[in-house]
Amino acid sequence: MTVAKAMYRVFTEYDAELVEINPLALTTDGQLIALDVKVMIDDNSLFRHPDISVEDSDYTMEELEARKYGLHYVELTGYVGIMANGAGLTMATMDLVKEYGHEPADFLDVGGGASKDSVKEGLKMLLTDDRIKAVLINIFGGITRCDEVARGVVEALNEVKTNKPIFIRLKGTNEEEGRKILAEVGLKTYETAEEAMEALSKAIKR
Amino acid sequence: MGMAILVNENTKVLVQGITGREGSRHTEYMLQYGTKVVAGVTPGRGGQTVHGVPVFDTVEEALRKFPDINTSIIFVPAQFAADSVYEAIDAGIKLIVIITEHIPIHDALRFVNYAKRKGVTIIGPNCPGVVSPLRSKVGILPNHIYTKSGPVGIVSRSGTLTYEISYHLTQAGIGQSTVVGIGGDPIIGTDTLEVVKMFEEDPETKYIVVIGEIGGTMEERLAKYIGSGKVTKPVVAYISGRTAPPGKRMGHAGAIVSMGMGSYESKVKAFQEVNVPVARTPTEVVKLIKQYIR
Repeated sequence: MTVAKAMYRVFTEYDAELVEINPLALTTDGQLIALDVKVMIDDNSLFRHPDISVEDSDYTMEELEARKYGLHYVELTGYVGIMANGAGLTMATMDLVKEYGHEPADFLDVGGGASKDSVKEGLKMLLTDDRIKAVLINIFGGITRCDEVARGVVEALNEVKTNKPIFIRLKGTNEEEGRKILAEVGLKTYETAEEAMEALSKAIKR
Repeated sequence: MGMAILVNENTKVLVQGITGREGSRHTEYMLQYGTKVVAGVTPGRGGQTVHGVPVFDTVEEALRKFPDINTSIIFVPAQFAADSVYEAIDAGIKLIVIITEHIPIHDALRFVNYAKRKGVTIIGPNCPGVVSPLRSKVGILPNHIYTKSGPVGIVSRSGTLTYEISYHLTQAGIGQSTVVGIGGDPIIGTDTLEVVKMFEEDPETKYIVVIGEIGGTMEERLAKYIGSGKVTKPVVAYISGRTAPPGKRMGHAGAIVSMGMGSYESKVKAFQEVNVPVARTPTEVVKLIKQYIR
């Protein structure tokens, strides 16, 4: 009972998502000892827990770096670099890569209303990743503006020399202007994610 | 026109956090869409106006001046968002849409529970909101996508993916009754099943699109409910995250496969067992809906 109460206190006081004691041992002299403990703290609550730092988390260096620019990055094991806007669309893009028989190298969500700079930093991460053979960018502009995304792409290409082919699906808010900006640097855009993926698929087979 | 769910031409909106960057910007967009935004709240900013909308210090004051307010949308920063939810509930507002991202889970646990006891509907947190095309939008969904009302009700855990699927439906000439983004957090006020129940009751909605993702058991619970025969309208589903590795959070706090729960396979199997077709890609949703409409 004391153990359960104490665990509940840790759970609520520390904004825990998980408090686990496993195993809990009972010694011959009747003492309870927690032999192993796991506690997961909610990232979003860190503002009221100054004693806990996100640096202590199990995020990788790249994931922490990406967070600085408002990007959600998760490293995967494949070779097709992915950048999209919104968690759902980014996952759908990963799934599409797999659907075409290829392996996604990452999950990179530039978020709703992504700025030029976050797109630039995100793309630079992918272009400098040696595992990645080609990049698929899938943007459906709602709040996000396609011209802003296009400017970010161009700036990244100005800063990083690359021979990785990039396939961009750009649709939605200000798509005309976005397409124009990319055309100026010789980048083609696609109407649907499927078309972009098909082109990518052909390019890396060669 | 029919009825739609949650929001319609009678929706009178209060914007909490109206003077902030997002609050102010989306107040303008909602007004452009035709939403009746009647007042806003930011403590200490009472007396100002934002895009012609009067600002008050408290929800209570706003309601005293505009007693017909029935819906609130919250843009208040995460640290203070919970307080503003309680303020809206205690003032008697019955529908609260929470756009704010990164609200601590323990805060959400408490206010979602409080809202349920008070009979208040919460949509979100961390959601794009609700739109009944051509009638009212309480959210941040892009105006130019929602141009056609019609028979399809959409409930979704994702923002951009919803815009994409809505766009393709409209392009195919298929309008929407109401589109509800329920949010990507692990604890949310209204889940997929509750929205599907609303669509089932709504005479305007004839077909239901469910956009899910990995994590949690919402889709499984919905499938079980459909299996009990209580949903008479055709349902089509899409689930993102088929290729997400277990134990990793995919952008949304709620999108994680953990302790064997919330996998893509489990959700697809649950839907297939109750004859709900699951699209392989977002664009396939439109094809599946068309098959029912024909």
